[in-house]
Amino acid sequence: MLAIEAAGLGKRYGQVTALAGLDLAVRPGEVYGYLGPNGAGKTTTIRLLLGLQRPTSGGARVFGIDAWRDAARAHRRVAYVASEPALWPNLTVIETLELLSRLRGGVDTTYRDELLERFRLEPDRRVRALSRGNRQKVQLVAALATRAELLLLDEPTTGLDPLMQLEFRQCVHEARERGQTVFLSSHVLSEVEAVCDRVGILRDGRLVDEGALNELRHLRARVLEVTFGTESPTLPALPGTRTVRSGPRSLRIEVSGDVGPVLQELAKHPVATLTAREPTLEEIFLHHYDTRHG
Amino acid sequence: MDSWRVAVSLARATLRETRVRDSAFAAFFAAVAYVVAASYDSVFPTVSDRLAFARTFGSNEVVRLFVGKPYDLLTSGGYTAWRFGGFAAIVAASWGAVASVRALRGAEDRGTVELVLAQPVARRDVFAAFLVALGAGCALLWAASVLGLVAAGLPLGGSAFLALATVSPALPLAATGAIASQTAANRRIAAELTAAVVAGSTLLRAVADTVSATGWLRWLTPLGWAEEARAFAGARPGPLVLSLAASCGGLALAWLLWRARDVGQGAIRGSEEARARTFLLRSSARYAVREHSGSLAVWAAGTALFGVVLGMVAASFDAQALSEGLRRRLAEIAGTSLDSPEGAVSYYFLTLALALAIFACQQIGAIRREETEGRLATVLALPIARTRWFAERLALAALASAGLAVLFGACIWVGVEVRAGGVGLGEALAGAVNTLPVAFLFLALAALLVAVAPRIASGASYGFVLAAFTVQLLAALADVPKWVADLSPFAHLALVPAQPFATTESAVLLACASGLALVALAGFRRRDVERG
Repeated sequence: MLAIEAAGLGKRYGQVTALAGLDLAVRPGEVYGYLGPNGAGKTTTIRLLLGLQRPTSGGARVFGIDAWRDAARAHRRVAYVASEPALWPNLTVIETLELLSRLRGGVDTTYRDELLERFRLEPDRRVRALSRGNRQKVQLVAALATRAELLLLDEPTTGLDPLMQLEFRQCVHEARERGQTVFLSSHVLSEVEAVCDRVGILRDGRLVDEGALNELRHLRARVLEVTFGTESPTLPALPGTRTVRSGPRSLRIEVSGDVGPVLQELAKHPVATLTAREPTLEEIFLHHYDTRHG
Repeated sequence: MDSWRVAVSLARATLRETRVRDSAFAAFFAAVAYVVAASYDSVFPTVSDRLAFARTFGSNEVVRLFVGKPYDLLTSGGYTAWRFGGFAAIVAASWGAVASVRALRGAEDRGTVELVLAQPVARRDVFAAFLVALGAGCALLWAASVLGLVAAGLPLGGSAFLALATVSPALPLAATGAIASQTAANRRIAAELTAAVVAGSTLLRAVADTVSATGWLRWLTPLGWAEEARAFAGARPGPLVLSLAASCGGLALAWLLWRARDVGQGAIRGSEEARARTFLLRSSARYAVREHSGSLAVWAAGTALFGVVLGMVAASFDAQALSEGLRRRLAEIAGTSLDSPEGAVSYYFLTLALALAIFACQQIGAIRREETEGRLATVLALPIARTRWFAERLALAALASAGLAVLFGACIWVGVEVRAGGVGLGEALAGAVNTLPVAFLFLALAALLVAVAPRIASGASYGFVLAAFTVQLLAALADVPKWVADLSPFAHLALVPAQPFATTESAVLLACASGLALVALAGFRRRDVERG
């Protein structure tokens, strides 16, 4: 049985199509990255999977349970983190966690206490006094402590500092080792790269690409910015690279695949500086997905 | 002058957002002013009618309670000043309270004020914009009232003064709302504090107008100032100057607080840390009780206070002073015999019905805010069924209404007992519980709005109550066709204990309420939960 199964799942708001005929199959135990720019339909998908919104076409099942018709039953096996933390301002952190746990019917309190430590939350602070990032952490702790079979995470690291983002990734790894399924929506490529087994790419309400990370090589492309002590040399054409002369003494090399051969080639020349960065999601969308539906 | 332009454009934005509500209020003022003024000649065609009416009501505390003290009932102007002015002043006060809390705190809690202040806009400009919008709103209500009065044939000068007096409580209550907005921790608390002041003013005026030797209390409330202006009965501008001066003082204080406090936080701040208290966290319904316990306590205290005071007023009613003919006329107007504590108490249960209808709207507003603030999605992502969540919240609201009704019944009995006695506890409780079908109908209607038209639900539910009460008020005054009068659920309320319990009407009201509630639940089950 699939953890998430969507068939022709669609949502229209009047004339606006938020999601068009999504087919999705996420296997139990998988960490699935759901990648797309703002407004692509990521949140709509998750809200449809939670039965908070009614599909205008198709349908979705969570562990074989209809996401719309039988939402409450499906949610026994699901935990959710919203992109905007919406909590009760007057409760303290621990009261919030207690309320959410009781509404759910119990969580692993030992693990919850451990998570409170790891995410450095002060349990007696009132929610209204918390920063956005800290409120996000409250949601994360509440969801992770459930040890639910499926975690639906909607841009969960928004507002978290880099240290906490690392902690979050660690938690996802642990969840995966325990056999939990994770559905992680994000617009941050490196985050998805770091934790996901498989990636779906959403654009304008459509899934434009899907596969394991090593199948989607262009997602793993690196951009090397190289400057030389002398005039920049002409490099031989290597498979999977694209070289642009970005100045009289500099080159910009896009590498999709291993960078080893490029480095070996560069070693023959007087390299002054070398920086490598990942392409931005915008660059990837521009180069790889723009023409398909543009 | 740049600053002025900024303020005006901000005020325009505010007015654009509130145009539906403001137009509804303006229409209400114009319509009631017109109907009351125009109906005088047809209801009291002869001088002897007028004299009889004036004599009766000159000493009738029961009717005064709602519409204040009359100064001249022999002219259509004086009559209108009492009948329209007395009631509309309370509506104006409520408008001022709502408008000010919305402008000064509602926008802030939504985060838009931060956005505005991040522009080259000073705090001064934001406050000036509020004043401009407030002034424009008051002017609109004033103009609408003048229009209604003049259209009914009253002289322009007197109408302008009456309208001024009637709208005048809006300003001091807006000032109160402004101060509450600066001090309270959030919009809800600010709104509740201001509502308490409106209710308190109404009660104070009611006591001043009905209990002898307490007339001086009138000078403690903006509603009393409006009454003391005595439009069409030897008009006195003094009290209105007092009202304006008090408003300016209040607004100045609000400005000083606004200049000094942190955006997004009240001047009086609660602690940001607390020891965990885990009572009433076991289910979403129980948590709702915990979250709203403060607001429920305020409602309970207000209900109890009103109950005792109304009971005392009812008991002090002296029937012996009235002739048989006048008693009959009174009975015609009130819909029941008012010449005994029992009759008066029965009439007062109409107030309870109105209060419970407003309570229902407020509860629905709170339910709706769970959704707009995103917490509903948080809860419904847990293994909690939607229908159940909504049904529980509606049941809680119904239960709380029932509790308030019983409390009111018991307290009105206490009030009567303190003075003279004459109403049994059982009768008082029966009269109170008798209002519940109407309260439930308004609750179900508001629930239906949440299910099918969520964006307008909160405002429209209050609109229904106001419209129903206006129809009820007009039906008592003018020759309104019966089917129009029957549109108001209040019209189907038997005045228990003076009248026998209306089994059929109550059953029909309950059936309608249950039917609407079921449709509401089904509708809520089928629609999208909105994003916070």
